[in-house]
Amino acid sequence: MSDLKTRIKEVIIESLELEDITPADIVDSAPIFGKNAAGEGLGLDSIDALELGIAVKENFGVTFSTVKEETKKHFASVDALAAYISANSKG
Amino acid sequence: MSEHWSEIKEVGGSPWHFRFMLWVVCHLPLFLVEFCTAVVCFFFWLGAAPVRARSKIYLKHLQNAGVRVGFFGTYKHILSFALSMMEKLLGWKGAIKLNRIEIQNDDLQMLVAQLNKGDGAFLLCSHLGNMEMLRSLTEYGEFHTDKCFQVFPVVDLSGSQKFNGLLYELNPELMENMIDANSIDVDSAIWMKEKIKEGNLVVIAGDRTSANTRNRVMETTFLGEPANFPEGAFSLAGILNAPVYFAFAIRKHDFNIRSPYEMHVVRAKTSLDCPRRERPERLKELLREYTEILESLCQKHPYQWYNFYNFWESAEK
Repeated sequence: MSDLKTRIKEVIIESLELEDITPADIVDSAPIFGKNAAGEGLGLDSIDALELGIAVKENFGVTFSTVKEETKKHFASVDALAAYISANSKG
Repeated sequence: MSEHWSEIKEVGGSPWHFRFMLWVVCHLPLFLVEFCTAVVCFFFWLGAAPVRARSKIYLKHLQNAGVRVGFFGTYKHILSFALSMMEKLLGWKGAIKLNRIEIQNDDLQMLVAQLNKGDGAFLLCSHLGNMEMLRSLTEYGEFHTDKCFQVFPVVDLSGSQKFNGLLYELNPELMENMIDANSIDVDSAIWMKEKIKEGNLVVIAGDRTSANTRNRVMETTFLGEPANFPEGAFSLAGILNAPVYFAFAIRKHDFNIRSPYEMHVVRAKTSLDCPRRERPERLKELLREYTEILESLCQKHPYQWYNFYNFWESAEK
């Protein structure tokens, strides 16, 4: 699971070309979009979300529901995304 | 008067009106279709003060840019729009042929060569002219290319449901190729990418801000005053990472539905294949290229602009 999380972080950094950020800088439980009360999070917006979604699909082969709210839930944090990918990836 | 276009109700009233429109188009010779449209439009024009007022705002901007607009300008504007609807119905029932299209000395050949090779592209079109009508040709085997391809428009259908109901009856397949602009998500984005890769076209209009994400806009000067354009339409070009063309299809003679059609195709010079931090600047450049072409075509065919809302209202003053 921690391998998967590192891989997810790499995909996030690579696809969104986040400079000066390493996988270690991303907190597993922090929000990917926007920031939480503690000021943690990457603060990405909806166009970033679309691009990240495409990168995740291309890298991990999982699809997302067309129900927007549900997709949002899976992208809440690296933890949530890792749980979703491991539950849904083929093989 | 600060309505967003999506808050303006579809005009034209009862389903009966639309039925009549369809009957006229299907059964009368085209010159009579034009005549009927002109008469109906005259009464509509008399009664539709809000539409007249919105049309006037646009025509004023054109006048300031040096275009002569006569006393009946708003009537001509409304008539031109009504004729475009007639034309769309004709296109949807397969009555418009490729030999009506007049090509210009521009980048069309480049696009054709690309499609013949099996590569797709992303087209930025507009509400000037009638690109939708043009799309109908592909459904009836009317191709300028050697290879067949499909056209997938990204559209907001919410404002014209009654009219679209008619179109659906005429040719359901043409309606099913549409992508709803209000629900673009990961899956539909990937789907569009695949469609382009398979050699098809994805088309979006660059001159209407989205009803859902009104804050995602880019501001630029258009016909002398700042106006908002949809950031999403231009960003999509970057996300899909495909060659970008500007495309316009305009009646050569503004008030004649038997008129040849001018097809304008210009390859965008701005590339979005760049580091992400340079992207906002590139998007602005792409928008500037687009508005320059749009402005010059608006000045040539002022009445074929089918945005009947205050285009400039939403921009920051």
